[in-house]
Amino acid sequence: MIQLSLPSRLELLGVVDKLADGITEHMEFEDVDRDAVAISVIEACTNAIQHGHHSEAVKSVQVTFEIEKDTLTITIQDVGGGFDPQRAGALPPPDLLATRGRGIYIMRSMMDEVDFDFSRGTRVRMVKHRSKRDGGEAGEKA
Amino acid sequence: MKLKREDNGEVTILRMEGKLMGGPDADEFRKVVKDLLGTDRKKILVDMGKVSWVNSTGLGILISGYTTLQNSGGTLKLLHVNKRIDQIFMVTKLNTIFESFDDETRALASF
Repeated sequence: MIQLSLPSRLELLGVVDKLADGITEHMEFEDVDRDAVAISVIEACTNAIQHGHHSEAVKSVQVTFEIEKDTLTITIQDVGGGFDPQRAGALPPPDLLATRGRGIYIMRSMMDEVDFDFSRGTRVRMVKHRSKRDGGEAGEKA
Repeated sequence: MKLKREDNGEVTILRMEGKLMGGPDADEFRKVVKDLLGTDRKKILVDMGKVSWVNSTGLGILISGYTTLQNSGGTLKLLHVNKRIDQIFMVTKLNTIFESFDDETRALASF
C-alpha cells in the first residue's frame, strides 16, 4: 500500500499524477489504461481540493494506492461535506458546452469501479483491473 | 500554465505550456480572449503541444473561450493535442465540438 497526504493545492496535482503513472508503469498496465488511471486520480483529487476543501491548503487529501497482482484500488479521502453522485456524472452533461460537471463522468468512464462513501467527509474508491492485453486475470475473464 | 501569444495574419496562436487545471489559469485565459476580442482578433488557435494534462476544470476553461468567441462571431481551434488529452476529449465527446489539428500549417489554413 502506498499513501500520500496532499495539501489542497491544485498545483500539487502533478505529484499525484507522477505517482499514479509510476505505479501503473510498475504494474505493466497498457498505456491507455495508465492514462485512464492518472486522469481519474487527478479528477478525484481536483474534486476533493475544489469542492471538498474549497482549496484550503491546510486541509489534506489522503490518497491511497492498494496494489494487487492484476488490480489497482485507489482511495481519495477528503473532509468536505460531500454531494450526491447520482446528480453529478451519471450521464454526460446534457449541454456539451457546459463548463462544469464532467469530473465524475470522466472517472466513471475510465475506471472499472467508482463508488462513494460520505460517512466521514467524502471517500472515493476507484478500481482498475489490468486488461487482457496486459496479461491480467480480469481481462482474461472478459 | 504559461501562455505565449503569437500573431500569424488574422490568426492568433496561443501557445500553452504546463498543466491546464483551473484556478488562476481560468482568469488568465479569459482575460487573453477578452483582450483579443477587444482588438477584433477573433480567430484563435490554441497550441497544446506543451500541455501535459488537462482536468475537467481545464476543459471548462477551453469551453468558455470557445463559447465566448463563437458568440462574437469568432473561432477557437486546437493544435497538437496529446494522446492523454485526446482520450478525455473522446470520452466527453468534446472532440465533436473542437476542431483539432496535428499540423500547424493546415490548422492556420483552416480559418
